Amino acid sequence: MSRAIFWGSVLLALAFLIVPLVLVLPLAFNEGSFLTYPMDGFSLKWFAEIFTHGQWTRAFWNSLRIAFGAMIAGVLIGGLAATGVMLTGRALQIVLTGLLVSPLVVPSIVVGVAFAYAFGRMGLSGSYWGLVLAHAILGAPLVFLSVMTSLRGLDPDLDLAAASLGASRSHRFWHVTLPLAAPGFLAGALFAFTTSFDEVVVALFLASPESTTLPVALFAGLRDRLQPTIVVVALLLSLISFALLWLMWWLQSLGRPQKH
Amino acid sequence: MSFLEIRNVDKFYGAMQALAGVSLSIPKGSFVTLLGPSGSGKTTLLKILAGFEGVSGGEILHSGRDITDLKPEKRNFGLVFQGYALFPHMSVFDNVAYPLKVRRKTRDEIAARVAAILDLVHLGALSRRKPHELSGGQQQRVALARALVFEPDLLLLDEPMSALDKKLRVELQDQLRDIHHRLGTTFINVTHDQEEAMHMSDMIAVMNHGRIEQFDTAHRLYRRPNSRFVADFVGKSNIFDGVTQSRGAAAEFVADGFRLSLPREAKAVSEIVIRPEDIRIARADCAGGAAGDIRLEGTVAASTYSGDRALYSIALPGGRTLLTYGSAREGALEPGVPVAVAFDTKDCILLH
Repeated sequence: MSRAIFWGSVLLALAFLIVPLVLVLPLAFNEGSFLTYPMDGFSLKWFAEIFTHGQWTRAFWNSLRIAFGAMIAGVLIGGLAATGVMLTGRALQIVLTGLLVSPLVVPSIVVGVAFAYAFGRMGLSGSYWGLVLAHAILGAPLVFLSVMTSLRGLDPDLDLAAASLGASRSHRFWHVTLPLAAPGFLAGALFAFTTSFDEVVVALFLASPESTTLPVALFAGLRDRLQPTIVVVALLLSLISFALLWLMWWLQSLGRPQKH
Repeated sequence: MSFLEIRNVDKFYGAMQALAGVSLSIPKGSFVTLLGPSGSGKTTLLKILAGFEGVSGGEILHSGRDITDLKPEKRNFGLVFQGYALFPHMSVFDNVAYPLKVRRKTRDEIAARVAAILDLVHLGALSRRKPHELSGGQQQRVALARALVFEPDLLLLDEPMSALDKKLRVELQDQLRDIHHRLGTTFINVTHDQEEAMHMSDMIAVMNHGRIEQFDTAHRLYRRPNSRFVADFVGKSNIFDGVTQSRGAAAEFVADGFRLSLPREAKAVSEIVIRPEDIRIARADCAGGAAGDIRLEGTVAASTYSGDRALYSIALPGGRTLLTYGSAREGALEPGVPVAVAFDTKDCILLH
């Protein structure tokens, strides 16, 4: 009986999450130019349209460049913050963790307005670096949390052992702590990348026509021209996200056998 | 000036005092064990020696040099952790080579020294393995090799045997003693296992409530304990409370059920200790029976047979029990058998 309830609820939850996707995605291959069933026939012409149309490829490259920059900046900010916070006392740790995680709690529309206003004054609005910086600040808490989890899982005796063997603090960090916390850094980097790659709200406030990202272009497309191209882009985005999720799972399974 | 001098060290954690005026002089090349129950401060003292904890008062001198506030990485002390703390991402070879790489030795020198020390701990064949592919005993020996390969001035061992089973423990104790003899490095071992302490150490510091109760050889700790705690903690013992009474020029110790005349120079004695092996036992109906200065009668309450001998718990009329060893040639005596026990004045340890 309880098994039936378990499988029933699992299937319902999966259906709730997946059915809308499954219903929409075939429309990417629609022959006609409307997002309706029944489909007019099978065609890859919308895929061709995406890859030849400068607007979409430019947005894609923008997104990639911004996500990459945001990932590096986010890992630096979040990773260094986590490493530093681990060295502080218990009370300070709670306060600092709260502060560093706060960008996750503030609604993104508030963050977007704040960045638009601040960057406007600084002349960063619409620029590549403005978006990288804004997305890095959104991604840094995720890196911070994942690196913290990794560092907390480390046996504190390892650092003491390295110290007793004569290693300076920096030697210990590079040769003991960092290699062992690497899965945390990598997972954090992927989180930061996907966060930036999928981010709409802040990008809407900050992106200029030249620096438009893929989600923003998608959003604009929804408003202006409701064509299967949008579904094609959505499909491609989902595939990239799946690939990243798989990569993360693989990295985590790579880190596991080292524990004993 | 001894090799390592611990002077009046105090350690407080908040209001809790972990160490109270600990002083120890450790001679170069000796094997010293800090022995005590959990919470006695022995691990705290080890952490202070390793440099992981500061002191609240007092100082530590190494060959005359004050090292109280020296960082752990500057001390050149090896440390074997209770959980070994091997680096899980490095092979056995890289673990052992780590302290040499830190010291910027050449590749050839590292290879030669790691190979030599791995041979010493009989792990030469496993140098490519990762720590999680080794048994507990093997991991312990890697930790030992890693802590010795850089020729430290002092080797600290934090309950290194506690995670191993009994048979392996005895084997490793022998190995550790052998390595100590060969290298001549000063060893300081921490344990709560008094058998391990007696087996390996030149000197034992018995600790209790943050103090050193007695610092002595194993033999003197056993035969001449200077407190009830040491007598009770080290080995099996029978402790009798009593009072000292003057009888003209001589004095007598009066305990529940017997009297003991004290040597002339003895101060007031509050307790006497008798080791079980100093007590003779015989069946009450056996002619001749147990002979000695002091004879008591009782019945067997319980017995533990171990082949070579039997350990008896004897119920005395006063309500207390006495531990004694007896021959087990004809098997152990049954509980309830009336027996006579006897011991000599010269075997009694007097506590003041």
